[in-house]
Amino acid sequence: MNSKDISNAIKARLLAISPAPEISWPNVEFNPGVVPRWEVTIIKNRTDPSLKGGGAIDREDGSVQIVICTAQGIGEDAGLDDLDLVRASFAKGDRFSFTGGQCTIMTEPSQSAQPFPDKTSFRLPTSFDYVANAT
Amino acid sequence: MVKYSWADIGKLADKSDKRLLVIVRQSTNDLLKGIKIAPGINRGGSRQRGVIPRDLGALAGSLQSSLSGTTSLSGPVGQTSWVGVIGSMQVGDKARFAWGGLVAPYAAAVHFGSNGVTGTFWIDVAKGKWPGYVRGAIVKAKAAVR
Repeated sequence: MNSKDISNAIKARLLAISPAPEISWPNVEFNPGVVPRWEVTIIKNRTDPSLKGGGAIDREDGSVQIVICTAQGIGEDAGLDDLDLVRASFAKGDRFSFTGGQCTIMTEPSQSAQPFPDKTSFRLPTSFDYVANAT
Repeated sequence: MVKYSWADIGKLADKSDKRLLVIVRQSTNDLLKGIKIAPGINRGGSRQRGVIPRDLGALAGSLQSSLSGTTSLSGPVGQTSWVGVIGSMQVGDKARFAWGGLVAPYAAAVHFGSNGVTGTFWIDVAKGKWPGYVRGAIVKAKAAVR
């Protein structure tokens, strides 16, 4: 497996959530005014290269940051239903396979900070850690 | 082969305590020292992941460091306020580091992103490096306390 395989597996699992959330990814153009929307960032903390070479890795530790953006003026708990959707798909201990590897969710998705407003949305941050191993 | 007797248990315990103290102080020091501060967007910089952007300095300077446990320390605020905590902390203490507050209420917006500008997630990036800092501190502790 390589690092991109892991990102793609996490993205695929996010995109399979029902009802499907509107998701914006780093370095992909999006309209900040569209709500509800999830802003997803995958942070790769540590990768162990494989002796196979060619960019293959044996293990990767990382975290997935999701900022749940909801409309303003509908209450401070507006993003909690979406947070439950994240929890349902990425519960602590969940494991899912992809080509060349397996990903394990290490921490329960929890509210990372107090929700806060920006110009167009009310934003609830959540995150969870994962470990991916080559199979 | 090294042989130990019951009389050595006290010495071994003391050595372990000293090593643990070195590990907890060194790894916490490396964690805080490892968080980079770079010019923000208004000063010609960009939002880099893992970095605290500094435009006027309020966010970087808003770090609040506190300690509870055998030694209680609360209140130091400032970019290097963590130094006092690390100097005082003992094994088992709970140290807390936070940015924002009244000095920089926009800290969450910068950390998690807002208004279409990406967040820099410096706390989460630092958290991800923590196991590496601990591994490094263990090596240093073994060398420093023999």
